[in-house]
Amino acid sequence: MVKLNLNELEKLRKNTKDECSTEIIVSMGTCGIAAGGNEVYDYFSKEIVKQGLPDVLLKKTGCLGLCYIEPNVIVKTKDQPAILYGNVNMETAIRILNEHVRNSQIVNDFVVAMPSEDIYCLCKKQPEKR
Amino acid sequence: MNEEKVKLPDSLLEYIGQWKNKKGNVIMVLHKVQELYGFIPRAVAMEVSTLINIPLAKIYGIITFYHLFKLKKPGKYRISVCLGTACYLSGGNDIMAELENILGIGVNHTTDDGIFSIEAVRCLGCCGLAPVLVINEKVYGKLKKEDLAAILGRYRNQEAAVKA
Amino acid sequence: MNRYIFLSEPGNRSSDLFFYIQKALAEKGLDKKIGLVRTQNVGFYSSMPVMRVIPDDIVYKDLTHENINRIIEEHFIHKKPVTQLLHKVASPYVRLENRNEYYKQFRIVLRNMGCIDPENIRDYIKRDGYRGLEKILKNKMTPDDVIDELKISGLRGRGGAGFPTWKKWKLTQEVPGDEKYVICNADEGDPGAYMDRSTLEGDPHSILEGMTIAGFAVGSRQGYIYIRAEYPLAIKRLEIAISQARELGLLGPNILGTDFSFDIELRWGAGAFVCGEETALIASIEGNRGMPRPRPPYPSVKGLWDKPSVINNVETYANVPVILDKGGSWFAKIGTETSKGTKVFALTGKTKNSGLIEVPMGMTLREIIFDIGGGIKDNKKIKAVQTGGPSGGVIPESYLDTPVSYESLQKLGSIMGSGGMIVMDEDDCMVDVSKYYLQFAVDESCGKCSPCRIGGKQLYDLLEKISKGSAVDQDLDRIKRIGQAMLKASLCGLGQNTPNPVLSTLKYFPEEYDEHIRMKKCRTGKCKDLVTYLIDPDKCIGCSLCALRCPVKAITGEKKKPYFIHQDMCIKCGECYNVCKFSAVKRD
Repeated sequence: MVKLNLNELEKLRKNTKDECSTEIIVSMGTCGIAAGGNEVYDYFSKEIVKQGLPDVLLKKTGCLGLCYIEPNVIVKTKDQPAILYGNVNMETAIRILNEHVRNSQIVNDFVVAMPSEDIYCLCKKQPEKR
Repeated sequence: MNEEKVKLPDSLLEYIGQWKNKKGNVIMVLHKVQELYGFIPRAVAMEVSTLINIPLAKIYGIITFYHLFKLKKPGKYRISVCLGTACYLSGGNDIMAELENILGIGVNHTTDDGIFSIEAVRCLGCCGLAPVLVINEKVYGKLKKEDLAAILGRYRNQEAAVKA
Repeated sequence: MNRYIFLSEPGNRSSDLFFYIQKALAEKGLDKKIGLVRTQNVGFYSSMPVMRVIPDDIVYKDLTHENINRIIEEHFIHKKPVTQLLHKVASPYVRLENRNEYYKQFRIVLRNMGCIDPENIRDYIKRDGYRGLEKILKNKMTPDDVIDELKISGLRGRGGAGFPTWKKWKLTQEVPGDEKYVICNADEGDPGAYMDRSTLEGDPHSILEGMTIAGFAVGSRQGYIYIRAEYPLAIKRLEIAISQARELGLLGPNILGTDFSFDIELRWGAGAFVCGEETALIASIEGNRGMPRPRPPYPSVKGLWDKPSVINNVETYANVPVILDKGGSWFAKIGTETSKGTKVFALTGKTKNSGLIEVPMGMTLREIIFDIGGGIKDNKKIKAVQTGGPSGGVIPESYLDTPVSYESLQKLGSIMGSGGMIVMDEDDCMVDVSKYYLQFAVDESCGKCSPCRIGGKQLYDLLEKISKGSAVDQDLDRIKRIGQAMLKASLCGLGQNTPNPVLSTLKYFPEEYDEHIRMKKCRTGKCKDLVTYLIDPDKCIGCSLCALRCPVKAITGEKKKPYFIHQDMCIKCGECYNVCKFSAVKRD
C-alpha cells in the first residue's frame, strides 16, 4: 500500500463507503472465541466457498458487549435490517446460512434486539446523524 | 557454582539482537524466553544477562517481582483457574478446591508426571462465562464442579493415546 | 418486506401475542409487507413486552390486543405513530441533546464494536476513522487548538480519579524540550473489568488515533502502549493495526504527508496490578520492578526516562478522535454538569445479563442494573453493587437511584474506577467480599511503603478473625484506624485505596459485621467457620439425596427415616442445603 496524504485519506474513506453485499459478521473478541465463535466462523468460511456464495462477505468483529449470549453473529442483507443473533451454536449457524443468508428468512428464535444509540449500522443504513 | 552454559536458540538470539539497543528491553526479552521455555531457566537468565548487559541480580529482581514470570517448569497442560471477582462470586474457589482435590496438588504446583499444573489468575476477561478456567489456550466457561473430572479425563486420554 | 416489527416478550417466547400480531397483520393484508421477528431483548426489561418498528425506529409498549389493532391501523396503514403508546426511557439525570429517547445505551467508545473488522484499517477509516486527526492536520490546528477543544469537551480521565484530560496534556505541552512521550495505560488489572481489553480487541485504531492526536498536542514523537501480557488477542490486533497504520502513512515519519511524525510501540506488562499506577507503570516500561515513586514531580513534567510524559488509559484515548471529529461542544452536551460523555462498564456478578455496556454519565445505577442488566438472576434480592474494583467500595441497594458521576460515587465512598461494576445479591457476604478484595490488595502490594505492606496484611488478618468468629468489638475500631492511616500515609493509589472495600462495607452493612462478631453467625453461609448444617428430623423424609451428594460422606441414615450430619466430618460446602427438596436441611 502507498502512503496516503491528506486528500487521499478522504478519498479512501469515500470510496470504501458503499459496499453493499450480504455480510456475515462474527463477534470474535476473547469471550466470543471462548464461547465457540471460532468454530462458527470456520463453518461460514468453509460453506461460503463450498456453496459458492461470492456475494457474501464474512467478517470478524470485536466484542459487542453481550458476553452472556456469545457467540454473536450479525447478518446484513441488502433489503433487510441487520439482524443480531445470540447463542449461535453450529446448529443455529447452519440455519442462519440456509434460511437467512440464502433465502432471506430470519431465523426467528435466536434474534436479539440490542437497542443502543450507536449501533446504527445494525438497524439503519445511513451514517450517524450529525 | 558449577553451571553449564547453554546455547540459546537462534530465534531468541535474533530477538535479543532486535531489542539489544532499546531502553528498558529486559522485560520484553524475558517474555520471549518464557514463551520458548515455559519458564525462565537459570542458565538462560545468565546468558541473557551477558547479552543485554544487565546484572543477573536485577534480572532475578524482575522475575520475582512480576507474577507472570516463572522459575519452575509448569506442567504440559497449564490449568489457570480464574479467581477474578465475577468468578469468585460464582464459585471459582470451589472449582479450585475440586481441582486440587482431583489432581492431589496445590496451586502453583505440577503433578509428578509433569502433565498438569495449577495456577490462579485474576480475571481472564470472560466474566460473562463465569466461573472460568483455561487449559493452555482453551477456555472452559460456565463451569460446574462436576464437569472437571471429565475435562481432565479428556487430556489424560489424549496423553495416553500419544504414549501408546 | 419494507418494515419489520421486533417483538420482545419476557420469559415464555411462544405466547399468543406473537400469533395475535401475525394474525392481525394478515387480516389487513400486511403480512407480506411487514416482517414479524421474535427477539430476546436487552435494555427494556422493566416494561416488556415491547415492540420496535424498523426502520422507523419507534418502540411501543402496553401491547394489549386493542392497542395492537390501533398501532396497525394508525402506524402501518395511516403512517402516523401512536404517540400515546410510545415507550420512552429517557433518564431523569442525563442530558443528551437529540438523543434517541428509546435507548438506554449510547456508544462513543464502543462505537465500532460489531461493525468493523479490527484487523482491517479500511473498515475503521470507512466509519469516519482517522478523521479527527485529518481535521487537525488539514485545518492546520495548533496544539493549543487541540487542547482547547478537549477543554470544551470536559473529558476527564477514565482510569479512575477523573483528572481533566486537557489539563494533563497542557502540563506536558508547557514543558520545553522535544523529547516527550505519550503513554497508554492498557494494564487493566481490576478483577472483573475488561472494558479496555474489548476496546483494544475490537477497535485498536481508535487508540492509535487518540494517542497520535495526544502526540500532536503535547509535541511528542513517540508513544508506548503498556499492555497486559495476559491479553494475547489484543496484542496481536494492536500489532496488526500499528503495521497497517504505518503502511498508510498514518503512523511514522511525516504523517499524511505533513511534517508531523509520531510512532507507537508496545510494551508488555507481566502481571503486576500496581503497574496500573502511573509511576510504577513508567518504572516497568523502563525495565525495572514496577514500584511507584512519590509525586510530585508528576509524570506530565518528569515521566518516562525523566522526560515529560502524558499517561491516559485506553477509554480516554478512544474518546479523543470523536471529540476532535465532532467537536468539544458536541461531547459536552452528553452527561452531567461535571462528568461529561459516557462511561463503559463491565457489568458482571449476579445480573441476568452480564457484559459490556456504555451509558451516558448521569444514568442511575438502578437503570443500569435493572433495565440493561435485566435485574438479578434467579429472582434473588440485590444487596449491593461494587464499583472501582479493589480500590473502590460497595454501594447498597438504598442508593441505587444515584446518578453515576465521578463526584456522586466518591461521595458514597466508592470510586468510578476503570469501570468494573459487580452486582451482589443476598447470597453474598459482605465480610467475605471485603476479605476477597483485601487478599487481592495484599498479594499485589509492591512492598515499597510500610502503610500498604503492613497495613493491608493487618486488615486482612482482622477480617480473617471476623470470618472465623474470633473477633471482638474493638477490632472494628482497629480496622477503621488502620484504614485511616493507610489512606493518609501510603505512597500510591493502591495503598491509599486498599481499605475502601472494608470501610465501605462497614459503613453500609454494620449489622453483618456485628452478626459475625457477637453472634458468630454468617447469614449467607459464606464464612464456613460460622455455619452449621443440621437436618430437621421432622421435615426429612429420608430420600437420601443429601447423603448421595455429600462429597465427604458426612451424612448417614436409613431410607425413609431422618438422616443425620456428622459435624466432625462436615466441610460445610452447603451441597445438602442446596439439594434438599423439602427444606429439611437447616443452616445455622
